Amino acid sequence: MFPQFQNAFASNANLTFDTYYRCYPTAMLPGEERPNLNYGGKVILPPSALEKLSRLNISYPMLFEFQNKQTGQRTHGGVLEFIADEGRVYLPHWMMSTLGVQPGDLIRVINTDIQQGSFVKLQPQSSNFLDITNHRAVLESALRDFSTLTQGDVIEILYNDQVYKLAVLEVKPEDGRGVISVVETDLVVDFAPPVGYEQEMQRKQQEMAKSKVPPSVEGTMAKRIHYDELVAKGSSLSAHGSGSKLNGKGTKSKSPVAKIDVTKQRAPAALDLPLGVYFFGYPYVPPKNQADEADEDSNRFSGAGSSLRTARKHKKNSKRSSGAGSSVNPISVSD
Amino acid sequence: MILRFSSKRGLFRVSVEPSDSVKRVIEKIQEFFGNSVPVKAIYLSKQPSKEKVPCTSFEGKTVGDAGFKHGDMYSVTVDEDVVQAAAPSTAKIETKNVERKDTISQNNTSAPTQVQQDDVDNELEKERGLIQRPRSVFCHHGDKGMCDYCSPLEAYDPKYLEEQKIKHLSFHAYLRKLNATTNKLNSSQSFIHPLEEPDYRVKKHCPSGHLPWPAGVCTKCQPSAITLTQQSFRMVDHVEFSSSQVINSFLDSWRQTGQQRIGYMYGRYQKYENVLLGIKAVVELIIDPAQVSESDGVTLQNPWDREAEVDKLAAACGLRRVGIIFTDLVDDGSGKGTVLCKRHAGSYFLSSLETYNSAYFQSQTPNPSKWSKSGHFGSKFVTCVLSGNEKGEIEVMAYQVSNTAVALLQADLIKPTVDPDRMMVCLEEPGRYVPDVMYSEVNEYGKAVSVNAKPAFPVSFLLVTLTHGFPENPRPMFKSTVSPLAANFDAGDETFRLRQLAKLFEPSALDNGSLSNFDVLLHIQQMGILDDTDMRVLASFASDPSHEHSAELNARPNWQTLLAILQSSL
Repeated sequence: MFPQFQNAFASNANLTFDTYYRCYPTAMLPGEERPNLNYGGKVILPPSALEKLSRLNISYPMLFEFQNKQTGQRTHGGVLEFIADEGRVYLPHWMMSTLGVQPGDLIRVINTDIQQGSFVKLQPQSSNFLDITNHRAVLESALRDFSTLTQGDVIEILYNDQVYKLAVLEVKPEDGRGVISVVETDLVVDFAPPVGYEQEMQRKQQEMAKSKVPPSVEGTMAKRIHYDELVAKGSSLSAHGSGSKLNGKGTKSKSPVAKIDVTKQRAPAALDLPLGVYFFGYPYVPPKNQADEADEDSNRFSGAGSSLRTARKHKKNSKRSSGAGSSVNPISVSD
Repeated sequence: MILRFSSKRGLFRVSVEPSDSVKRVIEKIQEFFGNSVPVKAIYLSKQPSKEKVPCTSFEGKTVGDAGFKHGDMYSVTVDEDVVQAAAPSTAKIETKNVERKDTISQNNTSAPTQVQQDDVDNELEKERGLIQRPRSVFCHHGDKGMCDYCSPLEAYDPKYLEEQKIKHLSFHAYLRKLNATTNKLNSSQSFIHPLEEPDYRVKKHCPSGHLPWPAGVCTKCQPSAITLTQQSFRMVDHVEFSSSQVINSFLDSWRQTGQQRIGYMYGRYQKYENVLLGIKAVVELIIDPAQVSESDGVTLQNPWDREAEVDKLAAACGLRRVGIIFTDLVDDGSGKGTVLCKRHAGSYFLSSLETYNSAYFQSQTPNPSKWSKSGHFGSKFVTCVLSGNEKGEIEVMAYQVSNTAVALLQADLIKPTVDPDRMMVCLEEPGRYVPDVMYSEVNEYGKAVSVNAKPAFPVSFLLVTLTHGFPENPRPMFKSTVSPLAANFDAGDETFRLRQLAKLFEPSALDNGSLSNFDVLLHIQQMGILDDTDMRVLASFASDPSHEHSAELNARPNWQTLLAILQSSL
């Protein structure tokens, strides 16, 4: 009816905050390096955004939806500071991957209301997340830097100089958009098995079954009585002392238990334990099956022979005698 | 005046005054016989064939009054049965410090040593122990006749053993073998002990008169060269577990924690039917002493504070410590419940450390035997290992160590090594004389040569294998191996404990054998209301809750006291 008014309303009645900015990673923020900006869920907006927002009737905390117009991917987040250069918004790295944008692309920033969350299901992207001892404490401190969690996000958190990626699989309460606010809320967190977990378990089992090395090599008693040191002592007693090189440095003679064959040592070291102590952590020798013996037999008598014809060429090398006190027999010279 | 006495052991003279009491004469006679002869066993007579007068009839009189005159010759006889009954059992099962004589003693007893042997030994000695043979192809006689080919063989016949592939004789068969050679040829007067325990220590107080070692040594007191051989006999042939439950509940602790466990086996020795003159150890109970368990080892804690009570209750139940059992199980990771086979012909059976420990335990539980000069020979203590067999199943393997091993341990000549299959010979040191140790081996040319055992030798020379099994009709002494009392029983206060125990004393529960559990009996003993005889009656009731046992138990006043106390706590 009143087209002028309509236009006026359209341009001046900024009832919502809905603008386009060029997005850049937080690493490009001028000033000192602030690495923990990258592992949060809050962006850096320009000061003009603050003015606009303060004039509007918005609910606090300030939460935004970020849209990539070309692909339609969306995510959500909060704002940390208003120190960005004009026309620019600085996002954490994971947010840029989630939106699928390159530095310098345009994204749409819309102020929204998001309801408080009660439940979230996370999936670690690698099984090193399982090595953390206290997941609750780690998440509590990391999620302090997040304002929202959107379904489909793969957020990155930093703990102990290690980056852990977590995918948000599910959020509650559901509102159609799949996003919850995590500002000052108590969340129930559920974990899905890390990506690649089942394959790893299978692999571990296969390894155990194949190698058949009992874990007792690293057993607690073996460590306590320094079994490997004793074994090394035995082998050093028997054959070699410590060698020395001409340049003055000695040779290193460290060999792990599994490699030293205790049965071959001439004078094994004594196991001087008090009475009543039983130790079972000896190197494991698997029982010989009949199948193995059959294989051995088939290979036993097929050696490489040598003939007299080549004896002249290898005169120098044929000086190597084949056994203790055997007469010159060219056929038995090892090739 | 001088009185002369002649006896089986020889002549001796006693010099007394007529006014002396006869007691002095009797004392002198006792001295001659080695002090272990009670007065009532000594008989005197003027001539060996004439009537014998017991010494007790002379008590209180003086020598003159009793009718002894100067120069009289009396023949002294000692009543063996009375002596044996009165002789204290010199080798109780619980003695911890058995001193072995290391002097060259002039112990000229010409009779079997007076010791109280185990019941099973006495039982087997009465048997003739012959292998019956049926009529064979070579027999050319009738049904009722017997010839060389079908006459019964002695238990130790070498051809029979080879045929049956028996590697170790049973102890009594071995004894018969030795006795046949040493004592048949000799007259009944002199008796040579067939069994002798090896002793590899330097003998102190050598009669040659030189200073003891290390100042001086001669061939008489130094230990001779030792040749290690497989022991041809074994003291116990078989280990029987009264029910598979006994082993299963022992394994539970490994199943739950994955850590190894050790336990003492309590039971008794009985005749073993499947082996001629064989002995089996029947295990009724496995008790875990104080220990520190790890996944690759286990350490016994000394002291174990419940040891005295457990032994006392076991004795009341008629049980004694027959051996030790420990687990060596490592799951093979396949998820099927199979374990690694660590002990087999290619690796080791009993590691040198375990052999050393078992030798120690065997030295602490000597087996009393009247056929040995020292009064004991070997030990009936058994060592069992729970480990994986070739198929990966959990199996029991039972062993004993040879008497040579025990002697080597006592002389401090051996030490376990990091190689489980070899035992090392200790080095010569001041205070330790190490004789030559050799063993026989077939070398690469197929000849049997004597090899020096130093620095280390295979442990298999010190081991003896035993069979094991479970009875077809298990009749275990204890109905339940898992305690019916709550796990926090010891933590509760007096009223809580009494109430828990009272639940087991309800008539319906009693008839079903609620007391048939060692742990329950132990707690009852700890209460201190029942004394030793009561406990024995209770134990027989617990294993067999029949009417006569319950009647016997109800007749005992302490039992009624116990029931009243428990009743009042409800």
